[in-house]
Amino acid sequence: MVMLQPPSDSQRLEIISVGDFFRQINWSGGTLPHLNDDVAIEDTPYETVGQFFSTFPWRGAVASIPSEDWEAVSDNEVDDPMDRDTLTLEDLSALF
Amino acid sequence: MDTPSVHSHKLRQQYPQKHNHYKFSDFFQFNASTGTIADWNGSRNILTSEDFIIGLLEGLEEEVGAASAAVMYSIGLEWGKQDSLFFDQWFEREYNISPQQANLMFLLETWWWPFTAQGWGRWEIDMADRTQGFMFINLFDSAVARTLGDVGKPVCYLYAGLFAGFFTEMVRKQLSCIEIQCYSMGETYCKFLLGAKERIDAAAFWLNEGATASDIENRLRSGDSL
Repeated sequence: MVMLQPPSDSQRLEIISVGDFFRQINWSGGTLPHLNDDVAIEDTPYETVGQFFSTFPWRGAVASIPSEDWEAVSDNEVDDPMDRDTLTLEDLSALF
Repeated sequence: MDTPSVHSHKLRQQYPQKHNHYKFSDFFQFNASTGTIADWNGSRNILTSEDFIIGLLEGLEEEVGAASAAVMYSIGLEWGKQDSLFFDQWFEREYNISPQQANLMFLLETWWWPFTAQGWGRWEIDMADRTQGFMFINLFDSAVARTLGDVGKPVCYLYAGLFAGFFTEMVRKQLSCIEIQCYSMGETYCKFLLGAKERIDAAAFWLNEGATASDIENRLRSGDSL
């Protein structure tokens, strides 16, 4: 899997396994004292899930990412599906 | 199969506010002493084999011939109506909000999750055409179609009836449903059209004439009718 590293130092591409890929997510958003030895903490730059996904090349752009695209997104800013669509049953009923 | 009963679920009693309870070991409660299976919402469940589904459908066809499709649709219709009443109760109990006030997509996903856990397949609702008075439901891994395999015709009449019955009760308008694409026709997933009876009748006519799901979608979007 191709993963983009954050641009703080460089914007290099790195090939890592899917397991490593997911281990780099700090799912709890807290400190990670229990990380396996084989996962380097200094390579775990994602403080939140939202930040992690904001770095993902969803549109397949893998060459270079403008630095402004690297802005971290907090979990609270991730689109909530419940707010995305405000339809209710009454709205649906009115359409039929 | 799902039949509301008085069976209670101990894990639910322990964690009434737990919503992510669709894991097999959480959702079902196996009562060895009584030989029953209750799900999170208190419904009595039974496990069936693919042979059971084949036997049910083929036995029915042997008894009533081509009318078996209508019979299965009617069974699904009644099931959907009854289930909407049951769903009304457990949705409000679990989320402290009435279905009429809830976010529609959240409501519908919540309705279908128990079905997914029970093995009826996953679904996806396509509401892009809702303003034209119809919508599509894509069903992946239909228990009926998966069991029967490629027989060259739609077979998920039970599901079509289920959707028609449920939505009819929920939106309080008489709705019909037809399967316009089926895994048993060699497609990768099943597709249902839900809408007013006239539209569904038109789609049934076009389907009989050899129209594909895509043809029917295009004709509906362009406002065609019989």
